[in-house]
Amino acid sequence: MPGFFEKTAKDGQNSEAIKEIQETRDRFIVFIGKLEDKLKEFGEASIPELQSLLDTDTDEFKRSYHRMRAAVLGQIESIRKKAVDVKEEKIDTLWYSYNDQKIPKMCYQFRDECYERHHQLDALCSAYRERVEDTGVEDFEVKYQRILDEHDAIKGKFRCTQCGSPITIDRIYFTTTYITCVACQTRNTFEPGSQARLLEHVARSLAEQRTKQLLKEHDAIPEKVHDLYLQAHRLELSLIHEKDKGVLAQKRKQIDERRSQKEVLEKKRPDLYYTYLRAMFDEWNSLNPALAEEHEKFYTRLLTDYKQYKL
Amino acid sequence: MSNPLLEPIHGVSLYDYAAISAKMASGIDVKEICKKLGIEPAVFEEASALWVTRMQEDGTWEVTTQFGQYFGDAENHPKLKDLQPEVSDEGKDNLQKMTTDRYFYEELNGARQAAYEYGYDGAQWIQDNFGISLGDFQGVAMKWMQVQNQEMSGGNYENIQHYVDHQQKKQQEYAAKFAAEQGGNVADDVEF
Repeated sequence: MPGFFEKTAKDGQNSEAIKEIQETRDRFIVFIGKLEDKLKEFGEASIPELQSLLDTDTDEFKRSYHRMRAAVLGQIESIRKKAVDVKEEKIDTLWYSYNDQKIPKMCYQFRDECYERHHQLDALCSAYRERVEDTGVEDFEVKYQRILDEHDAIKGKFRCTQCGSPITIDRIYFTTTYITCVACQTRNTFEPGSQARLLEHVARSLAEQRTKQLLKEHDAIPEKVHDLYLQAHRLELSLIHEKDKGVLAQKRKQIDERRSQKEVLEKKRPDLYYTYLRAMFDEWNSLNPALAEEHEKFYTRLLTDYKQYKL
Repeated sequence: MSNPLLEPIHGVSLYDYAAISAKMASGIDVKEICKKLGIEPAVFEEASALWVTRMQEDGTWEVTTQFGQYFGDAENHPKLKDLQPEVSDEGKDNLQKMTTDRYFYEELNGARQAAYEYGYDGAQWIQDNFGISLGDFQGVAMKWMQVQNQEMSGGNYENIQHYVDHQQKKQQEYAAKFAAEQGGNVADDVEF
C-alpha cells in the first residue's frame, strides 16, 4: 500500500526510518520476484528433462533419475532457503528494530507485505516440488508385465540337474526355491530372474495403483465435510438479521440439509476405507498369492490402526 | 520371548536377519554371509521376505525397533562378527572416530545429506571420501540414535539441539562446497 507509506512520510514522523523501511520493502519485493523468475526458468527446464531421464533410464532402480531428482529438489530448496535467509536478515531485523518506535502501523504493514510476498514464493517452491515429485510416478502395470514376460520366457526351460527331465515352473517364485524333480526326486534349486525378485514390492504398488480411486473417494470426505460445515455456518450467520419468516424457514431447512449431508458423509467414510483396504489386499493377494496369509495379517493390523487412530 | 512376532523364522532370528542386512549393506556377499551363518541362501531369502511381513503385521513397532537395535549391534553377532568387509586403514580410523566422536558423526550425516541434495549418491560419496560403507554408517547411526532417544526421554533437549545445529552447520558447509564444484546454485546471481 504505497499511499500509506507516502502519507506517513509526509507527516514527518521518523522520516529516516520510514525511508529505510520503504526501500527495504521495495528491494525485497524485487528480490523475491527475481527468485521466482529463476525458479520458473529452472523448474520448466528441469521437469521435462527429469521425465525423459525416467523414461529412458534402463536401470531397474532408476538411480540416475533419483540422483537428478534429488539435485533438482536441492536447487529448489536452495532458492527457498535464500529467501528465508534474506527475510530473516533484512526484514525481521528491521521490523524488530523499528517496531517499538512511533510507527507501529507502518511496521506491521511492512512486515505483512513482505511476509505475504515471501509466502507466495514459498507456495511456488512447493508447487514446483510437487511437480518434480510427480515425475516419479511409475506405471506398475508395465513393471508387472515385465515380470510376466520373464516368467513366460523361463517357465518351460528349467530342467533337473540330475536326470535332465523338464521341471515346469507353475508359479512366479520371487525367492530362491527348492523344487523336487518328479522323475528322479532330486531336489533342484530354482533361482528366480531379476524381475521376479521384485514381485512382492511391485505387486503391492500395483494393487495400490489399481485401487487408488477407492482411496481417493475416502480421502476426499474430510474436505467435503468441512465445506458442508462452512455452508451451514454461513447460513446460520445470515439468520442473525433476517426478519422474513419465509426466508428464515427456507434457510433453516437448508441448514438441516447440510448437516444431514455432513452426517451421512461422516458415517460413510470408514466404510469407504474398509472397501478400499479389502479391494487393495484382494488385488495384492491375487498378484502374489504365496504371501496371501501374511498379507491378511497386515490387513488386520491396518484395519485395527484405522479404527484406533482415525475414528 | 513373549512376543510371538519375535520368534525365529526357519531358524533365522531377528538378530540374524538384522546382522545379515547390516553385513550386506557393508558390501559382503550374501552367499558368504549365509555360509558363515550355516544356512542356505534359499532359507535366508524366504526368511527375509517373512521378516518384512512380520514388521508389517506388528502394530506395536516392536519388531522394527528391535531390528534397528540389532542392526546397530551387528558387530557383536556371535557368528558374523568376524565377517568384515575390506576396509582401508583410513576407513577404519574414520569409522572409529565416527563411533566415538559425535561431532564427526553429525558432520558426516550433514555431508551425506548435502551430497544427495547436489545429485550425488550420498552413501557412495561417504564410501569414496571417508572409506565408510553404508552398512557401517547405518550401524553407527543406530547407536547414536539410541543415545539421542535416551536424551529425549531424560529431557535433555538442549544437548539434542546442540548436535542438530552442528549437523545443519556442517550440511551448509558441504552444500557450499558441492555448489562450488558444480559452478554454483541456480539463484546465486540474485542479490538482495
